[in-house]
Amino acid sequence: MSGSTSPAAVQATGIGRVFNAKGGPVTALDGIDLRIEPGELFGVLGPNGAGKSTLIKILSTLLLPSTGSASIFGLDVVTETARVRRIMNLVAGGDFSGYGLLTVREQLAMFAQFYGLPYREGMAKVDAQIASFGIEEIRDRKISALSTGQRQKLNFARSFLNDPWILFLDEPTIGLDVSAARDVRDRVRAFQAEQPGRTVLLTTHYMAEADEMCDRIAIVDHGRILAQGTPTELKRMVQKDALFVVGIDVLPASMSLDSLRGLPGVVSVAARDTDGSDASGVGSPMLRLAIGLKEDAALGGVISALAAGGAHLQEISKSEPTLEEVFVQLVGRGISESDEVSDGE
Amino acid sequence: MGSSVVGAEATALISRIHEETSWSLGRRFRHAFVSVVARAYPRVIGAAREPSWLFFDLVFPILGMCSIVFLLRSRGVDEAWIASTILATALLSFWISVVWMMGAQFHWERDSGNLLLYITAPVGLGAIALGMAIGGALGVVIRAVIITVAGVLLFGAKYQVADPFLLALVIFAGVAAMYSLGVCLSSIFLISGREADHLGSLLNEPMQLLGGVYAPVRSMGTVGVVALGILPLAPAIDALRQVAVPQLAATGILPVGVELLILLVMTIVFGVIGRLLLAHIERIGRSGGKLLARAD
Amino acid sequence: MPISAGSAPEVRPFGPLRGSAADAARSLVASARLAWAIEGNWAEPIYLAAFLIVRPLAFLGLFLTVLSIGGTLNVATIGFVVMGQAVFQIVSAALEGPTHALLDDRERYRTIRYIFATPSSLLPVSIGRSLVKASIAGFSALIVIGAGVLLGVPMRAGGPDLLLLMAVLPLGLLSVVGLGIVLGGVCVQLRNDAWAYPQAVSSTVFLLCGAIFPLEVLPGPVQGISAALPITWWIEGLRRALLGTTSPGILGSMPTKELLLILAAGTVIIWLLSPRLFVAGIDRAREKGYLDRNTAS
Repeated sequence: MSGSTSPAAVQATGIGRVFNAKGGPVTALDGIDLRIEPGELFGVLGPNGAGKSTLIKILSTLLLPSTGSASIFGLDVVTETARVRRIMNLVAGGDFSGYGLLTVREQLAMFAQFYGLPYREGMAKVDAQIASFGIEEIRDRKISALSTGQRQKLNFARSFLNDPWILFLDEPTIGLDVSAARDVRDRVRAFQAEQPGRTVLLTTHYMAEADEMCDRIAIVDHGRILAQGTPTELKRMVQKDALFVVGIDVLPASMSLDSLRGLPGVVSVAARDTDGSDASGVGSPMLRLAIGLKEDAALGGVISALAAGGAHLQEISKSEPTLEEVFVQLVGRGISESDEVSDGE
Repeated sequence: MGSSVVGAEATALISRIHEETSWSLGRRFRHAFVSVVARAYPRVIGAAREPSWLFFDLVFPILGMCSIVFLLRSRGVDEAWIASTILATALLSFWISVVWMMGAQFHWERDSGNLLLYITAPVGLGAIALGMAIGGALGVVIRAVIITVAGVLLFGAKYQVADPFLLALVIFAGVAAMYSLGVCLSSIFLISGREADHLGSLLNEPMQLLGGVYAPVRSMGTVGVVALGILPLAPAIDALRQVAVPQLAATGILPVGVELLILLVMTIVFGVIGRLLLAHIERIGRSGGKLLARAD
Repeated sequence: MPISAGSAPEVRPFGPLRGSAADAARSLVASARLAWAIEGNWAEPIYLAAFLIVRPLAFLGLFLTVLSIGGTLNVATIGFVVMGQAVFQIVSAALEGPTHALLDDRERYRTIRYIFATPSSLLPVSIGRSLVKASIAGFSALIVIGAGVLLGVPMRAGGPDLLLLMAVLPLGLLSVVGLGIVLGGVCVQLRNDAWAYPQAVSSTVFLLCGAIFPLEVLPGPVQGISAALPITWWIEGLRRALLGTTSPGILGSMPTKELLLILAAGTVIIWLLSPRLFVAGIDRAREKGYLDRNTAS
C-alpha cells in the first residue's frame, strides 16, 4: 500500500466484517487495507462471495465494519455518516428500484430533492442528465414501462445528480447488453473527466471491464486483498517481461534464434508457429517469433536487426497475460471455478 | 482513465469537500422539509394515476362496517351505536393507513431496492416516513369522508354535533397521534424481516379490540384503561363517540378534554421515540447487516 | 442417434391437468410441501403464536364485545359466533390461499414462469398450497372453538356427530378450495389491485354466510345470495355437528339431509366449473403477458 501522506479519497485500515449466520460466524472481510487517491477509478475484482459488495457497503455507509476503520475524503464512514452521504452516490447492478407510477423525470426530480439540491438547480440537473444519457424520449414514461437497460441508465442519471465526489459502482453492468455496458463505461469516464478529484470505486467480476476502466485494481478473494496495482503491474506479476509476437516471412539465413537472443534487451526468443496460406488458400507463409523483452523499447532493435537481415515484417502484436491469468496465478483457480466453489459453500 | 489528484491539490480538495459537507442547521431543516414534500409526491401522484385504489380502500372498510352493523342489529341495540360504528370505521381508515402505508412501507421499500437509495442519500428516514404519512393523508381523508357518507346513506345514521370545532380537534389530534405512532412502527417493521406482513395483520384486529373501536374500552375493564394510555385509537374513538353521538356520552371513560391532552402527549412522545428508534434501528441494521437483507 | 418412430414421446391432449392423475398428484404433494415450508418458516415462534392464536381470538373478542353492547350474552349466542368465526378462519385461508400463492410466485419469488414451463399444471400446484393454508388455519379454528368452550359454550350432548362431521367437513372444504381456485384464476389476469381482490371477496362472503349473525338480519334479496353459497351451509352443518344447535330462520329450518344435499350439489357444481375457469384464467393471463409481470412496477 502506498505510504503517501497526501490525503486519500478512500482510506481503509484493517477492515473486517463478520456476519452471524445460522451455521456459525461468516467472515466476509478479513483485514482489508486500501488506499484510493482522489480522481482514481479503482476496481475491486473477485468472484462471487469474495467480499466485494460487503466492502462497498461498508465504504458507502450501508454497513458497519466489525473491525478497522475507513474514511471517505477524511470523513469517517461510521461517525460522520451524514457528511459522507452528502458527497457520495451509489449504483448497484441488477437494480429494480423506483416507483412504477412515477415518470423518469419525476423519479429523478424526487431524488434531486433528497440530495439537497435547490429546486431550480435540481430540475436543471435532471434535464441535463436525461439529455446526457440520451433518454429524452422516455423522460415522461413510467418507470414500470422501462427496460432493464433504460432502468440502469436512469440509475446512473440519478447517481450523477448530486455531482458526487465519490461514486460507488457495485457490478453496474450486470444484465446489460454489450452496447449498454459500453455506454455506461463511457459515461463514467466522462463523469470523471469533468472534474478532477472525482473518484470511482467499481466492483466487478468482469475481468475485461476492470482491465479497460480501472487505474488500479485490487483482486479480492475470501475477504482478503490478494494483490493490488495497475492492470499492467498485476499482469507483470504473471509475466515480468514484455512479450511480443513478430510475424516475418522467413528468418534470414544470417540470423538464428540464438543471435536474436543476443540482441540488447532481449530475454527470450521462441519460434511460435509457422503459418501457411490463409483459410481462402491465398497468402504467403509466415514465421511467428515470440520475443520476450526487458522493456518495450528494445523491440526497435529487434525489428531493425530482422529488417537488416532481409526479413519482411508481416505482423507485430503484443501478447499480454489477461487478468484472468493473474487471478488464476493468485488464487489457484479460474474465476468461474471460484464461483462454483463459493456457490457450494 | 482518471487522473489522480495528489499533494497540495488533494489537500485543497479535501478542505473544499469538508466545507461543502458542513451544513448549517437552517440548511438541514430546509433539506428535511423539502425531502418530506418530495416523498409525499409519489403518494399523491400515485393515487391520482391509479384511482382504482379508492374502490378497494372503500370496499374493505364498508364491508367490515356492514358486518358490525348487522351484528349490532341482530341484538336490537340503539341506533346510536350504528352511528358510532360508522364514525369508528372512518377513523379506523387512518389507523390502517398508518400500519400499511407508513409502518410497513420501509419493509416493502427494502424489498424493492428503494430503501438503499434512501439510506445512501443525505436524508433521514424520519423525513421519508413523514413524507409518506402526509402524502397518504389526503387519500385517507377522502376515504374517511366517503365511508361516513356511505354509512349514513346505507343505515340512516344520525349525528348531533354541538361543537364542530371540538369534533375537528378530536379528529386532528387522533390522526396526529396515530401517525406519530406510525413513525415508531416503521422502524419496528424495518427489523421484523419476513414477519412484517404478519406483524401488520396483528396490528389490525387486536388493535380494533383494544382500541374500543366498536365497543367502548370500558367494556374491557383494566385492559381498556391501559389501552387508553398507549393506543391512540382508544382515546380518539372514545372522544369522537362522546362529541358526535351525545346519546353515548355516558359510555366515555374519560372527559373529552383529558383525552385530547392524552392524544397531544402521545403525538409528542411517539414522535420523539419514533425519530430515535429509526436512527437506532438503522444503526442496528447496519451493524447486523440486516438492514437491506431481503425478507424471505 | 436418430429417434425411431416407435420411441417418439406420446403427446397427451391438453386438459385441465395437462397430464395423468399421477402427475397431478405428484405436483399437488410437492406444492403442499412447499406451502408447508413457506407457511411454517417463522423467524420467531412468538410471531407464529401471535398470528395463529392472538389474532383469531382478537377477532372473536371483537365480535363478542360488540354483541355485549346489546346486553349480557347467553352461551347459545356465543356458540353461534364462535363456530362461525372458527370456520371462517379456514374459509378465508382457502379462499385467499390460491391467489396469494400465485401472486407470491409471480411477484415475490418470480418462479411462476418456471413452474408454468414444466409439464406440471398450475392447478394441482394451487390446490396443494391452498390445502396447506387451510390446514394451518384449522389450528386457529380449534383455538377459537377452545376459547368458546372456556367461555361456557356447551358442545353437542354425547359428543360431535361424527357421521355428519365426516360428511360436512370435506364437502365444505372442497367447495371453498374450489372457489379459491376460481378466484386465483381471475386475479392472476389482473395487474393492478390483484392482491386486494381475495380479501374483498373474503370480506363479502363473511358478510353473507351467516358467520356471526343470522341471515334474517340481511335485506331480503341478499338472503337469497347467502343461501346460494355452499359456505353458508357448511358453517350451519358444522354448528349442528359440533354444537348440536341450529341457526334461527331458514338455515335452522332446513333438515340435515337437505342441508347435505345442498352442500354436496354446490360443491359438485363448483368443481365442475372451477378447474376449467382456473385454466382459462391462466391462459388469458399468459395471453396478456401477466404471468411474469408485477402489480407494483
